[in-house]
Amino acid sequence: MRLLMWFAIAGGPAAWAVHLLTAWSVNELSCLSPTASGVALHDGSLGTRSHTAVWLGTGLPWLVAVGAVGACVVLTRAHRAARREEDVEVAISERTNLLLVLGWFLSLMSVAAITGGAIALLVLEPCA
Amino acid sequence: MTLDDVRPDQPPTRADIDAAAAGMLPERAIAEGTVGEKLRELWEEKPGLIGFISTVNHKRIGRRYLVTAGFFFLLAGIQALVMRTQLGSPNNSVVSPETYDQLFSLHGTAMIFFFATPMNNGFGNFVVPLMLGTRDMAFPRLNALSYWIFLFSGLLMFASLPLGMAPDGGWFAYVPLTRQLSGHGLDFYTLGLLFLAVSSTVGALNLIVTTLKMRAPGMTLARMPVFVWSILVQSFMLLFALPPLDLANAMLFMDRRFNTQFFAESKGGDTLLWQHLFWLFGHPDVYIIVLPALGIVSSVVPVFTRRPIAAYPFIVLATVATGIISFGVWVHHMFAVGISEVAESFFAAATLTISLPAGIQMFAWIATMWRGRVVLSTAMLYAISFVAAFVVGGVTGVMFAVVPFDQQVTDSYFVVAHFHYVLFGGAVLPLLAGIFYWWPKITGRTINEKAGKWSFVVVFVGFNLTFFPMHISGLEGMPRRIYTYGADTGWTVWNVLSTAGSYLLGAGFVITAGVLIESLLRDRWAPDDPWGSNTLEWATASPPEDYNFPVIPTVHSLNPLWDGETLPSMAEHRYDDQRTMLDHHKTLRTSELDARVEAIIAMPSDTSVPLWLAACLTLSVIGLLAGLYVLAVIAFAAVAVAAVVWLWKRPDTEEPVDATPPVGRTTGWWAMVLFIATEGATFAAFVASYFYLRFSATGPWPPHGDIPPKIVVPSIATAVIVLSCLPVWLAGRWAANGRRALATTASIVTLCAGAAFVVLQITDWFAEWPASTLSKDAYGSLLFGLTGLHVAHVVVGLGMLAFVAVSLATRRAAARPGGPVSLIALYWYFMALVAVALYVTVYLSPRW
Repeated sequence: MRLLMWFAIAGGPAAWAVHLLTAWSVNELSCLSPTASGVALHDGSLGTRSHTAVWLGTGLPWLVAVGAVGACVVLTRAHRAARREEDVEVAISERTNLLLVLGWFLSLMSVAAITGGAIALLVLEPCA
Repeated sequence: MTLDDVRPDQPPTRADIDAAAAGMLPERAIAEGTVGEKLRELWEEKPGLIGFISTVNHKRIGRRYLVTAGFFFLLAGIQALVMRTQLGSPNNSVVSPETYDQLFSLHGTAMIFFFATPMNNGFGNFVVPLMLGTRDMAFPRLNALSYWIFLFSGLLMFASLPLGMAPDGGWFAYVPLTRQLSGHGLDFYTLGLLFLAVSSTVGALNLIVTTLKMRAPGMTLARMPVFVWSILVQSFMLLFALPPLDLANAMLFMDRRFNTQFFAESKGGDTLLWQHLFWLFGHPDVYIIVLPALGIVSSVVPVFTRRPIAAYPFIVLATVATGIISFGVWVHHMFAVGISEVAESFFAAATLTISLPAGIQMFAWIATMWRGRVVLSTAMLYAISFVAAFVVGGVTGVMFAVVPFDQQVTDSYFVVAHFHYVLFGGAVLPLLAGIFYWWPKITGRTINEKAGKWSFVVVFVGFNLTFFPMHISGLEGMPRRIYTYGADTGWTVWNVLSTAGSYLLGAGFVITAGVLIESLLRDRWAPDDPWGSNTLEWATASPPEDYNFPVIPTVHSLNPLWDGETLPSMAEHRYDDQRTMLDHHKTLRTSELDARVEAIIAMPSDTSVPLWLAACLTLSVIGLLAGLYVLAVIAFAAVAVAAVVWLWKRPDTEEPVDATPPVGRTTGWWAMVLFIATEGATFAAFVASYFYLRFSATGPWPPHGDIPPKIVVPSIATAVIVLSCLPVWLAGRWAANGRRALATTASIVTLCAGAAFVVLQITDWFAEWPASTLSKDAYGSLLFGLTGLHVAHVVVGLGMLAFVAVSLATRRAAARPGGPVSLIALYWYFMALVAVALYVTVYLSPRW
């Protein structure tokens, strides 16, 4: 449960950070510098090979962020059940509640931010 | 509750009743009556100059931060007035263009680095331990060091102006301009900020450990005041935001002084790298400044609306979310440099997202006021005015997330207007609220409220008159940083208004200073809790005693002074040795999440060593600045000596609670982990810079057709340091089991292996790379930069290992679980990990 709580809180932001760093860096470096050293990122025409990497850097983190939302659902149900059975101290219940609010917001916000990036990929050319 | 309720066995004494009548909270009066005298003897500081330079008391240090930052604000404010005078009419010549460049550069740098952040630190230092119900910061001596370094770095930076050597490349010092500017201005900038970063880093680390490990029993995370949350998040942000800035400054200094090529386009460097590194710090820094200010507002609003803050969990999440998102929006400062629209869109999405948490806080404050009974004190007026100003700054901020608009107004006065609404409206107004709110606690005196309200009116009108017209002059095309303009531009009227506003604003600050000085001169003594507040700092004397709390209370709610249970616990526990701790400087260590008591820890006594260490470090920086490298090295050696004296005399004891041995993570463990985290961020930023330069290079890598580096010696060196993790791990285990001799031996073996690594690395430098490699191209600069930084860290680790080995052998260091050996082991594992990362980056990756 403790690991799941960590995932619920930090999973979304971590996924968003991975998306931002991978998708941005691959996109920027492959589009800015069509050079010999950047050959791994493109095959001659700007952004062509890297576009797949950018999509992967968007899609996979999006799935992880959605998974963090799922973890919040599971933990919220478990916490409600524990409270109904009065199986938890007041102070700990307060703290769990606070952490769950944090997890919900951060996960949903991460899903929204990554979705925003995905929309950009859908409507713009790779190196627009 | 009455006095009789808490002392059923003894009726209240005359002294208790008199104390209550004089403004003491009855519960504190009872606790003080029982243990106050003994604690006063224990915690009393030395008088006079010796006491002044050797104090480690968080309240004195906090006050010094506030006064020093206020002084720097005055200096930077005078610079602003000179600039506004220059712009007060077209074609003016009050100052030369060169002086104007120095004025706006130093004004921005000083306001951001030497006023806003340290002012927050001042409140954090003074208020946080009091709010947490503890007796001092986790590391009082580090706290003193942090202040002294801040003072010296600020004096160094401001001394540059009368010397005619002030920074003149703007507060964000863009290359290639700053790489080429002659004179020492940019050296003051880079070295001054690097020096200050030491202070900011140790200060942040100290505040985090204090918040996580020193809370009064019962103060779970869900009962922590919003202000403490904001300081906690701000401190974490500092630990991860400063490394990119430090790295950028170090690179720029090296480029200027030693001709490295980090930012030289023709040698494989990249000018955009500076912008990325700078704004990776720069945007989070906006929130580093603003978040504590928001925390102040969250402290003031409930007290002056007479009801608990609305939506506390949402305010906390907004604070945490802001801290996280702020690291993902830096590229919106670079929308005009020509990166792809896809990349811009990622950051535009993130920038729009960050408005959500700010909006949540706004609604929470408005809801609190809506449902409460508003008392328009001076502090509350400042807090309300902040809400209005921050909305204006926030709305224009969201406008910058729209890429086409951003590209239109980049580098215009619209930007100047926006960030002054954010930073003045969002930080200075709340800081003024905080000054008026905590003034009775800080000084023990009340202020003249009527005069305070007048000061507010003048400041608020002056602020809007100064900065609002800049929106219009910016939209009309006035660029920032121009020292004058023509009469035919149509900007004159807006500039006249701004200049008039700046004088009014200055007058407002003069009135504010007058109100505060008048309070100091009068004997209007403040009671413990003049506002009827809700948080623990108001359960202490005004100003607090040296030991803060005679008895550490048990916290029962988010509003401990309003719950009717927390205050009585001070009186109830007054005969409990573990809450009074009458035999030495001691306080409680509690658990991170639920604040359960884990141990009683000894706190260090006063010492002037932090001052001497800071002074030696200052000399070292001056040596680097002046090119006197021998002086720099000697002064740095003196720093090492001061550090040994410091550590040799520090207490290292933890006591059981209720006969249970100390449990949980120690404060030292947290400090080491956080230190490793911030150092890890530095190396990560450096490695990321390597790959950024590699992939953006316009030719082969390494540039200029160099063959890939030989890897035999680096392979052996890396293997040696990785293998040395085994003896240091054994040393930690043996020390934990009390086997001193074995632990000492294992430490010495690690020491030898570490020394072998350093020798091998230096051998590789001299054998494989001519000295010109450093300045030949970006690869050479990166190679020496990365491996040199790592070797420097390993040498520091060797020093720590040697110290621990000697301490163990002479029985000065405790051989116990979580003792110094296990902490050094953590650092050593980190060094080995970095060695592997650098081996792959510098030596293997050029072969791919």
